[in-house]
Amino acid sequence: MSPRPLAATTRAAVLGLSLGLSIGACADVPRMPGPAVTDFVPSEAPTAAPDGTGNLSPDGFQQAQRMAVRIRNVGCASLSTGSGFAIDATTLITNRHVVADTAELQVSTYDGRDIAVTASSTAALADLAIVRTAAELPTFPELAAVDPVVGDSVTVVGYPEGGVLTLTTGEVIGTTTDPLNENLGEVLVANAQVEPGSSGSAVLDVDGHVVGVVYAKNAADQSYIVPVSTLRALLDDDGAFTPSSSCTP
Amino acid sequence: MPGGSYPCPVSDQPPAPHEAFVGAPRHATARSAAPPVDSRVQAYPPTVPPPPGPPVAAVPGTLGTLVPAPVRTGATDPAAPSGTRTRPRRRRWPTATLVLLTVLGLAASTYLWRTSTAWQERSADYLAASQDLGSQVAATRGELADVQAELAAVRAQLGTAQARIVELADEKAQLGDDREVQRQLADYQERVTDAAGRVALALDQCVQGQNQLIGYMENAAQYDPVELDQYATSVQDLCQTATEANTALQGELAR
Repeated sequence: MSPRPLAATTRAAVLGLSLGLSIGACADVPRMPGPAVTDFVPSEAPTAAPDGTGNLSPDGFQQAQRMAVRIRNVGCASLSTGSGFAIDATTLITNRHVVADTAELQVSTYDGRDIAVTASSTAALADLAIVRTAAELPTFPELAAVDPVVGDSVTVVGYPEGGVLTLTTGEVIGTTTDPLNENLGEVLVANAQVEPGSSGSAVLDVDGHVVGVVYAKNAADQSYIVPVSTLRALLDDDGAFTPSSSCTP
Repeated sequence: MPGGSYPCPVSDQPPAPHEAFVGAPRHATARSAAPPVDSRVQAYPPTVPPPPGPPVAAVPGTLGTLVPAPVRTGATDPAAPSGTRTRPRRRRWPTATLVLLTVLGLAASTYLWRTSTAWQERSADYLAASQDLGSQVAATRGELADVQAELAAVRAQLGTAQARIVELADEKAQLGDDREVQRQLADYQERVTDAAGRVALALDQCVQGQNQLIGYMENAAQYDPVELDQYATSVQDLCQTATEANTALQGELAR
């Protein structure tokens, strides 16, 4: 027996019911609000990126300034000054000619503190010297792994003319054999301005790592730098440094 | 919208009434091929169904011949026994459907009203919370501006203090240099003074010895010549000492 056709009212009702059920089944129907959010403050506050203008050292000085020292070489009948920098808590690096013919070495820090010297030794193959201190130095940088290349930016921190602590910048412009025959191998040439008294100044790269030691300048205001590779080689050689000689009155 | 939206199941939609008969052998029988009838008539069907029509000789594989169905008025059934009138039974399901739809509508309205009320309350809570947070943000911004101003001032002071520290360190270093220079100068002057004193003393002794020797030589006959020679040698040594002291003084002066 075949089904009977539905009447229009029936069809409309069924259709309405179907639509109603369909609408009811659809998820577009507004839902009751869930649990109320009461804590709108994130548990971990967003950290602001440093703007680069602040100094994170205890006294606001840059590390390059804090590691630099002024060396006064009191000779038997002379007085000279030079620069140096720390490589660990009680060890300084400077030039051999800065500590030569000394009766007494006097070291002062960036903030004027005097630090007693216990010993000094010089290298025969380069214009480098090591100075040991009794008290700890404010800070010390890391030595760079490799020498800088031509075009690298460098910063020289020291005491030109024995004056105020000064930072000068420049670039490495080449390499050459030592015109003073003080160093074995090649030395770096940079256009960073240095003066007498800058000898022993640390040469830093953009990351603040030591890439060399200033030891001389020429008439064209170019500075000569002992590369960090030479410094590393001498520091690794136990016999490279010998006690420095004192002057005789 | 909380809970997200869910797709409406299109496949669950009931098919259109006419689609239920698609494919059905509408021409197989005279009833199925009957034309639509009036809804009023259809709403009150006869109590006794009409007798089936004559069979249609259908050729297999072809459609049968359409035979018009008898029109039923519903008032009286021609096939019904004479003298009996069947009262059309009222169908109740449209009413039930209407009631059901009304109930469903009321339920939906109630649900929507409650939902709307709940969301209004939630919105009010969030608005109050946001206003509170906005007040806090405004206060924090004000404090931040103050702190930034103070920070700028402190940075300026720090820069000034650092510059002053560097200057003081340099002044101390220069004073230390001057101190060492003065100490070396004092040492030098002390050495020169000592040398000059030794020269003066040696010269004085030399002069006194020579004067004494001159007096002895004026009366040489009264003295032993050997002793005079020894005295003269001693005076010469004193003068030599003075000469050496003078040489040392010149050496200090030359440094």
